[in-house]
Amino acid sequence: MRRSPGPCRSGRCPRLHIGAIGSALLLLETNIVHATPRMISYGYPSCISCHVSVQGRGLLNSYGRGIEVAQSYSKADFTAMLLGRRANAPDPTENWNGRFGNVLLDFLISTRLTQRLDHEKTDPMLAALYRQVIFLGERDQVRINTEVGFLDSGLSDTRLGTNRIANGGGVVFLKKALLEWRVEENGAASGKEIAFGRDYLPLGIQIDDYTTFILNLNRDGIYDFPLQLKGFMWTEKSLASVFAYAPTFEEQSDAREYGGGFLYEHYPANTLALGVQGLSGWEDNFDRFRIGPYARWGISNKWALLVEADYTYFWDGAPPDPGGNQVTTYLQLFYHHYEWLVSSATINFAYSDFSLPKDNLTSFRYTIGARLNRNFTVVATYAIGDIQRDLDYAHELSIFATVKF
Amino acid sequence: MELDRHRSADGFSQRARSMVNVMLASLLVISTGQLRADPGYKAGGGKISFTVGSNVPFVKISGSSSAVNGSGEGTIAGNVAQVRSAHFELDPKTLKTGISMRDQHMYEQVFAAANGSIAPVVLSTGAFQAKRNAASGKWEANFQAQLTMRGVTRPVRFHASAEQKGSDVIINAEGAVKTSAFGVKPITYSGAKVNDEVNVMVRDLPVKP
Repeated sequence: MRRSPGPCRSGRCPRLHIGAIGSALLLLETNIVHATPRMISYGYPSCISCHVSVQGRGLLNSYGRGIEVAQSYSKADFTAMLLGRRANAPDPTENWNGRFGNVLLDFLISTRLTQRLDHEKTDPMLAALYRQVIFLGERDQVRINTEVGFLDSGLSDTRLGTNRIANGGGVVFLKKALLEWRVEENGAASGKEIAFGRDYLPLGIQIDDYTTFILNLNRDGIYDFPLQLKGFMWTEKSLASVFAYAPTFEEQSDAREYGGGFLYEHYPANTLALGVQGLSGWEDNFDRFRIGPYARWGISNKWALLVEADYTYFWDGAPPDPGGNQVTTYLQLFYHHYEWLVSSATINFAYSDFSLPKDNLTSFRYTIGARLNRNFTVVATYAIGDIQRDLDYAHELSIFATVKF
Repeated sequence: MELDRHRSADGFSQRARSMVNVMLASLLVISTGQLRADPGYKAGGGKISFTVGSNVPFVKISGSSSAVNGSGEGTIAGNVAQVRSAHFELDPKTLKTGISMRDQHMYEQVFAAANGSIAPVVLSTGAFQAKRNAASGKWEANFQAQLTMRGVTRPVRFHASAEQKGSDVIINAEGAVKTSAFGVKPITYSGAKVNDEVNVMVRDLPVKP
């Protein structure tokens, strides 16, 4: 689990080890699962179709697992084969749905090799993720959803400016511990759900690239999984969420934030989702109000576009940065060479006059990923810009492979 | 093909009207090897698409093809067009949903006959009338046709409209087809179940003499 933070004790003051870690540790970039919300291209406007959780990310439901297999180069599911395709399904020849009775789980391990092109530095990394959902009730209405992450070198807190800290964590950390209750579900037409526990906040386009400014400048980094109570409501044409959150108390004492927010997205077509999200949060370092629009657009079966822009107003910060403004933007264009082979180009830009080492930040990333089968994915990525965890410049090439059980 | 080549009072080309009415019947589909040797009017190049709901939230399966072709014959008198017959065909293997494995399942579960063969889908109509809508200026008709797929023929109903654009007549149409009526068993995949009723749309199907 994450270390217990303390304010500047035992030489752990974040101000002191900025230099030690800031220049050495790159962000844990592109998610080890390599899942991206690009299914909008295939007429899936919302994440709930394929994911257990309403807001997406995390484990796939049985249908999502089927789509994952369908969009792989090889349709073989070695997990199912190893288990003799034992399943709950009435037809034993069907692909396994990933469940052991009322437990759905998977395990991923990812290795990454990053070569800095602007320095003689090679950075190998090992990460892993265990995900589990326990279904309760006759219609699986209640779920206990858990995710535990592993990173071979836990990233320490990194101070970005006078008032701002990128939260750190341990080698093993709890990403999700959530109790979810599907209060109502009317087939495909509508539904309601409430959830309580530790999780990502239901905001924006739900990507996993932590080098993006919409995440790491908005307290949505690698280790940001606040305690939260949230509700979802959806119809065939829209999805809405409201939430309140509190710290996990593993953050620095002055970085423990309380707040609340909302998300609303509308689907004018099966290939277009238009959303708006916002929150207001309070902590010792500063208070903030964030709001912004986002969109997922399946331009065609070949092209998909994700865009998001957020404006944040900060106040009640400590001098010399009592307050300020921030804009973070994100644009990612996907091209599907094949269903299993996808390229994307991502452009990030941010402006902030509040407590950062630079006012203007930019980065670019090109990624190509191949899902060879459900169990094995390889990815190569090239990135340039302000992509380090302390927002310093880097120029790097990475390859990584993920094995999923 | 019988055509009245006189011009109507409003100057609308009788030839075009004939085309319109002939192709109103067109809408959909099929008939391999059943086309007339001298069809008079031919259709091709438009887009046929379908959408079907499911029990999965937000999932509607959509697919399309641009491989519709057909022919027909008819006459026109004033604002009333008489379609005598029309035949349209579509190779179901040209329908794509964007996910190849799903396409394969669709071909096998929806379009394959009992012997496993996949024949073109055919829509054929008998005689019916189409009238010009004074408000829209389009020719419109509700008509019944015979739809044949996987070796089973059943009646279906469609609504169609047509308008003249240059020398072509452009047809649009839509209707609903219940797959169970054609012997298609309930379609399920990984917990998802597809609805029985499929909405079919024909968009911008050009008809030429």
